[in-house]
Amino acid sequence: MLGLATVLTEQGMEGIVPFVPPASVRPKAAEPVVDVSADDASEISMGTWILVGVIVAVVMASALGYWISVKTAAPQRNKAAMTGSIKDLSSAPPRMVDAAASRAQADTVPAVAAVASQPQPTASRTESPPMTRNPARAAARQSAQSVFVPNPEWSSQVRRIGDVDPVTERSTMVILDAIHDVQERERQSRPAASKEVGREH
Amino acid sequence: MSTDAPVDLRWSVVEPWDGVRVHGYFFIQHMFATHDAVRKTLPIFSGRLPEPVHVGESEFRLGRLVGLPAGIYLHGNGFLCLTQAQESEDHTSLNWRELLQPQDIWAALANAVAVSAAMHKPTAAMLRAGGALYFFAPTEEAMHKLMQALTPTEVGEAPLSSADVARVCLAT
Repeated sequence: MLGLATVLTEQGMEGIVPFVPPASVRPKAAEPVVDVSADDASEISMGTWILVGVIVAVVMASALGYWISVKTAAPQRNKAAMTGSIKDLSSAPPRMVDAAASRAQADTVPAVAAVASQPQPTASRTESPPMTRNPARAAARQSAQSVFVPNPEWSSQVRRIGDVDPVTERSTMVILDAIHDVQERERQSRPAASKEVGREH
Repeated sequence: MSTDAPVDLRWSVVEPWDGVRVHGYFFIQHMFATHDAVRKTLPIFSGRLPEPVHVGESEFRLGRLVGLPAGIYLHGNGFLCLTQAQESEDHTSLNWRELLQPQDIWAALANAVAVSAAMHKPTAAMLRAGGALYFFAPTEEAMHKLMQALTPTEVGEAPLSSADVARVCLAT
């Protein structure tokens, strides 16, 4: 029992005057404590809700961004990387088509002359006007049903790309043809150049 | 067969003062010079001495009140809470009314209230002064005034010493 003694004896104390701790004496004194805790709780819950909201917003934004990227970037990449670029190259190939057209001439020119004219394409690449397609060759290609028939070894490469329409297929063949021509010319020019260097030494 | 009947202490004076019944025991200090510390501090007890529990530097809190009594003694079914009075000449049966400071009375009561609340036992408020040992028996009115001085208790308020509570009690 809480309280102060009013009688003190040799053995102990008696006549206790009880008291109630101050927090319970006035109920109003206890109210601020309750209010403060309630405020703290509400602040905590509000902060928690704000945090949850921010997290949800971030997750939704990332999901939306991912969806948009998947929806838009992937098809563009396919067209640009596979079909678009090939079409562009096929429509206006500046030098490769020309190189393919001059393939026959290169075959007849001697090796020394080919070596002498080797630097010229490098210089002319920067200054030459835009070149047009060889109409005869283009007509010949368009008249053909498929390039797979005359060049069966390339068909596997083309089929690796996937199912493509005939126009794309033809343009692809033009590029491959040009690449082949360039490689042929380089292969022919290498021995000649080595011979020329050997003579100078 | 032992006689456990309460034996009254031999107080020199018992007088009411502002709702508090003041019990005073006056003595010559050097007569207890060779006695042990408890008997020198509480010379009114002649038989079994109270057992010291805390001697100074112990805080007892009750709301804003931080009680710092000079000593706590276990005595029977409760505690004796001893408060040290301000320095003064020795109290006697003739001069004690002038020497006993009201602030010391309220401070002793405040310390005892804090000890009772902290130890969950009844407590006797005692004051040790020069040549005197006082015991204060509060009435309900005095206890009410003391409780009023301790309330309201709100979070963030500065703590009160027993001297602060005494000043509040004296002002009301």
